[in-house]
Amino acid sequence: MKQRSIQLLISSGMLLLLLSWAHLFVLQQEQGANSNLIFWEFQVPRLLSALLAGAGLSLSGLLMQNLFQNPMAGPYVLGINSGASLFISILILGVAPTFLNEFSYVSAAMTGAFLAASFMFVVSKRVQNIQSLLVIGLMFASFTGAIESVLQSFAAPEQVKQLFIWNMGSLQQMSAAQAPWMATIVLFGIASTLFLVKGLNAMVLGEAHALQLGVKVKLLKISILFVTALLAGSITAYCGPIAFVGLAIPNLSRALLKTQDHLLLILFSVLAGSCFLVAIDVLILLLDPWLSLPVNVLTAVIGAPYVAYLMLRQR
Amino acid sequence: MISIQHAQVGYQTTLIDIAQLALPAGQIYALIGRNGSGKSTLLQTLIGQLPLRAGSISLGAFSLGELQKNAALRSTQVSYVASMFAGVEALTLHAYVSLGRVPHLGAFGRMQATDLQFVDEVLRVLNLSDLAHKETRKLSDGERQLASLARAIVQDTPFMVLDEPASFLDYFNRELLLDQLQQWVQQKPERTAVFSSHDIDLCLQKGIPMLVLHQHKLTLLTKPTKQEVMALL
Amino acid sequence: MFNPATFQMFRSLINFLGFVFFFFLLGCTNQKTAEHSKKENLCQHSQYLRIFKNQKGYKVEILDPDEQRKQHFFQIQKPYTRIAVLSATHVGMLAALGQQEKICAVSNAKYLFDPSVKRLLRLKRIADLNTELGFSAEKLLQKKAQVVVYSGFGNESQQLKRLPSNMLSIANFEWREKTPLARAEWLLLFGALCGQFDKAQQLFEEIEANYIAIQKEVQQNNRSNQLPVLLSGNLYGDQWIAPAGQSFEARIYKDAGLAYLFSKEQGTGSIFKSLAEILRKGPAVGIWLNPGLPNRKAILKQYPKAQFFPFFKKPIYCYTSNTNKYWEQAAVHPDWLLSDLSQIALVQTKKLHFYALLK
Repeated sequence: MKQRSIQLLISSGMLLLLLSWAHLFVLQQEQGANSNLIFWEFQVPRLLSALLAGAGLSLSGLLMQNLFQNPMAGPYVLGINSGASLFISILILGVAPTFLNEFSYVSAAMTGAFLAASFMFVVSKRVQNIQSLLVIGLMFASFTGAIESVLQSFAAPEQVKQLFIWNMGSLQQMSAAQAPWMATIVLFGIASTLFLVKGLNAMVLGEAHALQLGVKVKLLKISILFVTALLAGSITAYCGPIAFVGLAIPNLSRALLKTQDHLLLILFSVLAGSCFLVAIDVLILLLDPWLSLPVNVLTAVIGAPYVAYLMLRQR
Repeated sequence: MISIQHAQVGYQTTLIDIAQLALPAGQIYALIGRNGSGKSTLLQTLIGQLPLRAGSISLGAFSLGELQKNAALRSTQVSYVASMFAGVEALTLHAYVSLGRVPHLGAFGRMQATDLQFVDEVLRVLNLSDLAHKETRKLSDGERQLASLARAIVQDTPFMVLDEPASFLDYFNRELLLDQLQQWVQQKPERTAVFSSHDIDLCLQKGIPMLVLHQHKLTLLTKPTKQEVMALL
Repeated sequence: MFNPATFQMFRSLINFLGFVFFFFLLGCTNQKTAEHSKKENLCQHSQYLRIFKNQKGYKVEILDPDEQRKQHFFQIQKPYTRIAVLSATHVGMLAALGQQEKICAVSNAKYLFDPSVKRLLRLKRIADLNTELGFSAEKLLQKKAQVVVYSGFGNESQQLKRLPSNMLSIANFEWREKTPLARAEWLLLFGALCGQFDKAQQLFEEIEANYIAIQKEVQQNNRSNQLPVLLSGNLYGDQWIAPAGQSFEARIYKDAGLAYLFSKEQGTGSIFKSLAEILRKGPAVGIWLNPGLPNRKAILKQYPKAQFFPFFKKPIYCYTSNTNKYWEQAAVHPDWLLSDLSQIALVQTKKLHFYALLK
């Protein structure tokens, strides 16, 4: 059992290295005067975006699923992205441009994500089943969408365009200067999750059970919400909303590892999430001579059927 | 030892009123009562899930109030076996039973060799070794009930509270459960277990002391006979 | 079974695909040129508009660019006085004819340029439909509109079906034309609507003559010189969106003496290029046109890595010093547009109508 998990961890790590190598050195060979600049300013940040966003989103999905006791939870379906998106819209559309800097974007997105996650968590205590919760997530997303539309009708076309572009989601937006920030946040998120392992394991059978096993459930819940907001919020700020990774990868991890040991799940989700997004981006690079695809189209093409399959299997 | 002083138990209204009662350690106690008499409510109170309406209860050196405030302390004092738990995807029986060790593990929740040995030993005694790697959601209700007991044993606390732990068990496993519980309380001097049951005959046959719930009162029968019990119910 | 999770996840995809589809539509316009009988048809350039003069007034035929067989006929017997317009271009055409008084409603006040239209709007003589928040047929009825001109752009035509049958609704496919002059020719439609056909014809002939004159001048000047390479468009998410090789933009770049980077790309609408390809071709670019933002700072704010584009240090021109003016007037005045672009091509800008060099 353990051996199998360790084998899977090692092989996914090797796959990740292989994919990253292909991404950076096989598919994006650049010649000419600019090649060095293009490598450091465009190609490396793009790979890092895929690695960090994949890792962070799937980890936040894992945390959400644990907190909500629901394998269909994830930062995207529960409207965590929408919360981040709403706060970013308010920032882009409503605040004086002087306040628009790196820090304000990320903190707005994280605040929005945290509030959305907390709201959904409070609501989840009052609804009986998965379906209702997902419908509420859907409603929440359309609610924030509506507010964004109203804000947009008052905004200058240029701001609307900026928001539109951001809302498409992209692995190519992050600059080399932003990369260390995003890396720090995501790595901090992963590291702090490792300290939650014991509580996460005990939470598998619900809050009451975890409480009996001596877990400080309130602290754990707040930590989960905080780390999720940190990860999903910052990734949304840097890359826009990226769908399906957060929902699909943790489910895939559980199915492959056949365990609820969150140390293994965290490590594997992080690796598999990175692998998934890098593989998607490799596919985009491969297809590039024929058609240029945005990242969310491919995550949806691959992720949506898998999620639909999971839903059907739930019955 | 569990001692109870003027305790009023219940949610909105007092369901059970206990003037004074002491349950000496080294014994298991069967909680008997008719449907709706408040057995589960009393057990929820004993594990600190439901606050007392008045009075006090202490488990060994600690009062219920203290245990309620400190979940970590409580988890080293009381273990609880619910009448049912739903199986979870990808959670094996072994992993589930191992959760009982959580209160004793370090920050990262890693099991040491001694923890694993303990788990394996308990699984063996309860005849669960062959099912160790089966997913909990694929176990039968009875297998899950035994697994719950195993998890509580592994938790290694002085007190154990069980809510109808035998309801899904067959005759042989019921005997096994009671035997194991009796062995468990005798392993360490401070141990006490309370379990609710409808299986009066088997408890009488095993000579288990009974706590009988009747008309909002709790009566301890240290050497119960059928007539006594029936008269109270 | 209704599956909310799946549904929501598809929502983003559908939103996105809708967006892609729109550009796709632009890309797939049919290239077959319908041969008009030139004797009667008063439109020389347009592919989708035909106007015939008869005893009763003007007979107008509008062809649907997507379904050539679907034609829309109507007869203009007497001039209309209450016209609702759903695009800035239409405002520009009416304004060019001095017929602002005939406008009774506009799609969005935010995008207006013409001062007298703005004044009429303030006086509440013109209604702001604010179509961004949905199209309101009711407002059109309140304003007693006789004609609605729409662009056939999105799903507005569904809403228009609810209008009373005596209200004339006209799809204005000017934006689907492939040459700048064909676009400007839709001016004649507005002339016929307002009873100003002769004036419109005269104005169009002027525009046409100007355009051809500039074009000739460019051809003579540029014969020996090497043409500056032009890149158009900007990055939207992961994709660079630029006019395709057979679009009217590509045509006007050519007429202005610019070598358009994507002149060989098929299609009449938009093309999508990956960032990698833009970076690869970037060093050849001499001029960056239409980033859609008012200054370099704004470009960097939207996409900080733009500083590393090889062409970021080259001259960048955009119409963003007055975006509303551009959208309102560029279609009706391709001569001004061509004049701007031909000056940009020579890197000698004396008097620009729409464009400005970005700081």
